[in-house]
This record gives sequence, C-alpha cells and structure tokens, in this order.
Amino acid sequence: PLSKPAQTQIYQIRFESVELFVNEGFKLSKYKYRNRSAATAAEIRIGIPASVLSENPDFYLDFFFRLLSRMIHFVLLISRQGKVRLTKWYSPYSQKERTKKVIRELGGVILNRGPKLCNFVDWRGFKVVYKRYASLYFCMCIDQDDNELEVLEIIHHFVEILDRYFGSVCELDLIFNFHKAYYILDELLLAGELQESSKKTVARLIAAQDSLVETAKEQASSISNIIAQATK
Amino acid sequence: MNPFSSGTRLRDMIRAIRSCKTAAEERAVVRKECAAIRAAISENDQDYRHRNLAKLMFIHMLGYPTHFGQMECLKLIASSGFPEKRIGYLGLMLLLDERQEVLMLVTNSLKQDLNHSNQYIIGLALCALGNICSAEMARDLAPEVERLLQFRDPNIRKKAALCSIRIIKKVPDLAENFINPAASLLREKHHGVLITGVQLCTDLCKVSSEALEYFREKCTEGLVKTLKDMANSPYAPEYDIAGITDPFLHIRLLKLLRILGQGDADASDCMNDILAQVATKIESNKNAGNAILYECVGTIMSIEDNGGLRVLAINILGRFLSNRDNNIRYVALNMLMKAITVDAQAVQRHRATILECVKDSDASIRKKALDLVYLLVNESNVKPLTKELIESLEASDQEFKGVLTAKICSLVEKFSPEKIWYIDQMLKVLSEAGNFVKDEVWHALIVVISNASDLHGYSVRALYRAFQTSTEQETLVRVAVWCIGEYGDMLVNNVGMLDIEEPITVTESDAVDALEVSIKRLNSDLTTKAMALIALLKLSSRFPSCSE
Repeated sequence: PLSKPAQTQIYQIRFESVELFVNEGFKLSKYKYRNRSAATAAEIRIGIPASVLSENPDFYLDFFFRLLSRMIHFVLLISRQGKVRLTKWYSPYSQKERTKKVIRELGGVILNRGPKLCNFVDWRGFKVVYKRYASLYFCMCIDQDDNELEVLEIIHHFVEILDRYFGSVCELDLIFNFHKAYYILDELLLAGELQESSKKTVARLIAAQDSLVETAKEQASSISNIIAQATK
Repeated sequence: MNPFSSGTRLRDMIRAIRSCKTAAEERAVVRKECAAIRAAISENDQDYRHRNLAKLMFIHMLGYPTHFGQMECLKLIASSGFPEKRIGYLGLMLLLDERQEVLMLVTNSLKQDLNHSNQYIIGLALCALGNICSAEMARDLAPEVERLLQFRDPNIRKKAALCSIRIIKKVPDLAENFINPAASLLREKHHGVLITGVQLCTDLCKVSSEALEYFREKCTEGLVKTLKDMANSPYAPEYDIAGITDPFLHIRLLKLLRILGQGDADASDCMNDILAQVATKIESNKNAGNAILYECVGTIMSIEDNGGLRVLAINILGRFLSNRDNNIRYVALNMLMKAITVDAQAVQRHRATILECVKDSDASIRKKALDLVYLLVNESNVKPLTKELIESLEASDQEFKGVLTAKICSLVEKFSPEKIWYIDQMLKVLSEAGNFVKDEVWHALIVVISNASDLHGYSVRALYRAFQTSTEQETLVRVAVWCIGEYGDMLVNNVGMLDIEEPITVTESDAVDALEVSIKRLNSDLTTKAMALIALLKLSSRFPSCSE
C-alpha cells in the first residue's frame, strides 16, 4: 500500500521489508538490492525522484510487486505457431505488457529454442520454465532464485490432470474447451502458488462442480421450466 | 439460419473463426459476433448471457478488445446459479485486471459469496479474490478470508490460505492477523492444507519479522517432524510421484525450514538430521527427486553452518554437474554460484567439470558456466583457467565468442601475474577472436607493451609471427602494425631476445611488406590503414634502404 506521511514527500511501500523511499534530489537509479536471496531481506532503499513516482505510482507498485514476490508470475500456453491457448496472470501486468512483452517477445524466444536444450530461459531478470507437449508449449514464469525443477513437476502435474480429464488431451480439446482448462488450472494454482498435490482430489473437485452445472441444466430443461417458458 | 445471431453456440463460433483463411476474414467474423453480443447486452438478454461471455473470452484470447463485456461478468456473478457464477468469475479473472475500477463493484458479491451455503461458491469467490484483488478489496474482505481459514472443508481452508497470501502481499499491515490461524494449519494432515499452509507461513515470514520469530520458536520442531513423516512415509498412491510421497510438500517444507533456520543456530540444529536424511536417501534418477535434492541443498547452504552438511550439499552439486541431463547441470551451476559465498574452496574442487560446461552445446549452460568460472578465478588459478577458457574460445560459436572474449580479457587484465603472460594471453585471444575485442582492451595492450621496455623485442616478434597466420583478425593486425612501426629495428635485428624465444629471420623488406599487406588487404578498415601508414612512416626513418 502506498502511504504518504504528511510532512515530507516520502512514499513508502513495504513488502518483504523493501522500503521504497522517494526524496527530493535522489537520482533515479535502477533497482538495486542487496542480499536478495536472504529470507528476511534487509531494508533496501532505492531512490526515485518524487516527480517520477507520483506520475505513475501504479507502475512502480506493480514493478516491485513482481520483483519481490516469489511466486509463479504467469502461466502461458502457446502453440508451435505462436497462438495463445491459455494465459493466466498472477502478478500485475498491464494489457499492453501482456501482449507485447510477454506473449510476443517471450513467445518468440521460446519457440526459437532448439529441441535438446534445457527447459529454462532467462528472460528480463526472471526465469521461465517451459516444456513442450506435442504441439503445445507450457510456460511458467518464476524468479531467478526459485526451484525450476519443481516447476517442471508442476507443469507435468497440470498436463496429467488435463490428460485424465479429457482422456488423452490434445490441442483441440484445449481450444474448444478452454474454459474447462481454466477451471482445472484454478484448482491447481491460486495466487501463483500450488494449491493441491493430489490429482485425484483435483479431479474430484472438478467432477463435483461439473455435476452441479449438469444438474442446473437439467432443472432448466425440466417440465416446469418448459411450461414457464411457454406461458411467458 | 443466420449463423451469427446471438444464438450461435460457442463451439460453432470457434469453428467459424478457425476456418477463416486470412486475418481480414477473422476480423470480419469477430466483428459480427461482437456486434451480436453487444446487442444482446444492451437488451439485457438473460438467456444467452452465459454463452456470450464464453464467446467473449475466446475473442479476448485472440487479442481483440472486449471491455464492453466487463459488466456482464458482474451480472453473472450476481446471479444465483452456480453455472452463472462459475463463468462470471472466470470472465472476471480473464477480462479484467486489478487496475480496472469496475473490479471494485464486485466486492459486495464477493462478500456474499464468501458466506454462501454452497462451499463451491465460496471456492469460486476465494479463487477470484486470491488471483486479482486490489489492495482495497483485500483490506475489505480480509476478515472473511481469515474466518475461512478455519472452515470445516479442507478444500476451502487451502484456498483461503493462498488467498491470504495475496492479501498480506497487498496489505502487509494485516499480516499479524494471520499468524495464529496460519500456525494451526501446520498441524493438519490434509496435504492440500499443508502445502498451502506452509506456503502462507513462508510468505508471512517475509512480510513480518514478528511472524518469523513466532514460527521459528513455536513451529520449527513440528515442521521437522512433518518432514520426517513425509520422508519415512510408506507408499501412498494418491501422492506418489516417482517413488516419493508428495515431492511438492517436501519442497515447501524445506523452503520454510530454510527461512526459519537462517541466522538462527538453534533452529538450524533442530533440522540437521532431517536434512542429512533427505540429502542422502532421496533417489536422484527422476526429476522429482532432483527437485527435492536441489531445494535441500539450497536450505543447507542458507542455514547456519554444519560442516558435514555443507560437504554433503556440495557433493550433491558435484554429482549434478556431471549428470547428462541439461536441466540438472543448469541447476547445479546456478546453485554453485551461490555456494561460492559460503564455501569457495569446495566449489573450486569442481573446476574441471565446470570448465567442461563452458564448451557445452546448450547456450544457457555455457553462459552460466562462464559466469561461474569468472567468479572462481583468483591469483593462484588464473593461469590454468585462462588456458582452458582460451581453448574453449577456439571451439565456440560466433554468438558465444563475444561474451567469452570479453570475460577472458577482463580476467587477464585483473589477475595478470606478469606482463609477459598478459601479452601472451592477449595475443592468443587476438589471434582467435580479435574481431570481438573491444577498443579499450587492445588500446590497453599497446600501453602495456610500450611500458614494458624489456619486452619490446619479444612483443614485436611474437606479433609478427601471429600476424603471418591470423590476418583476418582486425585488431590483431592493428596491434601488430603498431608494434612493427615502433620496434621494427628490434624485429629485424633480433634485439632483446629472451631465453624462451627462438630466433626469427626478418629482413627490413619483410617488415615493410607486412605493413603493405595490411594496407592492401580487403578487410582493412580506415583505422588499420591509417595505423599501417603511420607505421610505414616510422620505419622509413629507421630503414633508410627501403625508403621506396
């Protein structure tokens, strides 16, 4: 939260003990932080001119949220032709950043990677873990200090759940039933973190919700409803 | 029947769009659909609201603007039926981001849904809140989420735990409220609740030092026990991945223990046994096992020193380094870079393998290995390391040569024990990759040569020899040309021969020819030609017989 003390022009964001101080006369410096991998980060002061910050506080809030959060920042599924099949954003990215920076730029980088290389790409200070399954690339963006091997497992976890749900899932399934793919993802990840390690549980939860939808459909087409419609 | 009435099924619209052959065709189809949907929206159509939102979401994913549909999400969320809410919340998360003011209007619906009698609806609300809420919404609804941390259904508790993470990130002041409920989650048995509860505690520690102290004091032992139980657990098919029970939970526990043990000797002591057990017992033939080992190594490196554990950790990294799997090697190099600050000696022992990685076929690995080597260089190992790096230079591709050259030059300049060694190395680099050498670097070389009067003869002879074989390297030509101009007489008369040198016969006209070649060669740019001309001028005064 951006709080502004009355007397001086100091903006303060506290997150992971990073304090962003704005003072007159400080030169704009790129974010510099000491000991970023420490669990309890020491106070880090970064000077940004007040005028710059007040022009666009949202940008800086977003920027630092992304920088300092350890989480999955976004999930991206793209086809070999670069078509987007699913995107989920857990960190703040503006619409423009989403299309230009991420989808186009990152998509380009990943689609150009050769086949036998490792599944990790350094991108704009972050790390993107990707894995190709048939014609689709599953990508998840994490931090430099995060466990990329685990994220590979998370991707595989997601793919296996999709596979069980659709029965040998293929790209067409994800195109025509994109909303269902999202429902499944929402049972797997929340706020950029893993939500459930049991595939069985995820399947059960999805089945229960699907059945609620079925029941509602049946009720809608039940006799009483038809009568109600006819007499409208 | 008109296929583009508001009655088009989602499936049919998708088919229609996919069958378009050109971008213009697609735009036309989308435009028609959007028009129909807009009309339905302005008529407040109830029947097709659900389907229209689904269509809008698909259109949004294609990259078209769909903000006119945002209010529809709100209307669906406000409906009473589960299917409507489900698609409404999905639409909300897809079409909006937290910067839209429209989002605030959902706060009331969210509040009601967080109190709904249908737990799946509570789940939908928690999901939306946890993924896109703004700071104000977080503040407003935090008490509801806090309450749900103790809900009867574990699936709700786990969603509430992750939702709480977003709340404390957006409003760190609220962190204190979540400490106690989070601690109770750690005592549960349900895996989903455990992994989310552990994650919540981890993030609480980052935001609040009060939380860190609390968990450290009250929960470390319990967490160690939970990890022990996981490590010793019998086969559990529901959570088994590659023979390990719930690797995700293993990893999250290790992450939290790392934070608790860091900077605290008692907490670190408490976890030594289990860390040793994990490090030695987990099988590393599958990715899941390696992911756990990787996390374990990270934890060992961060907590207070226990000599035995550190050695164990570095050994694991050493094994990772020789693994055939690219991912494992990449990860090992990454971790070793951090391990240097903790135990540089141990990392030095793996120098040979790291140097192998500099020649790897994977660009990501080469780069990481090079960064690591750079950090490993010191006065005592600079000579063998530079030798290896220069060898890699010969085998590397154009893209990598630039980076590698820069690093070698930097190292050589920083750590050079003697001038003659520096000159030798620079010569090799210039011969192999002169075109990648920056101006400041070869200028510096010239300065060093001119300041080393005892090496003038050596330098000019060595450069002359190199020049014979590597004329495609522009900077080599320039340095050679400068030297020949300055010290041509030493070249011709073998002045200042060192013990290690072999005599070389170069006549005055040979020297002049060399300069002529430099001017005439096709690739020579203006700088080179100019330098060669100046050199010729210098020689003309020293070699009067060759004046023509």
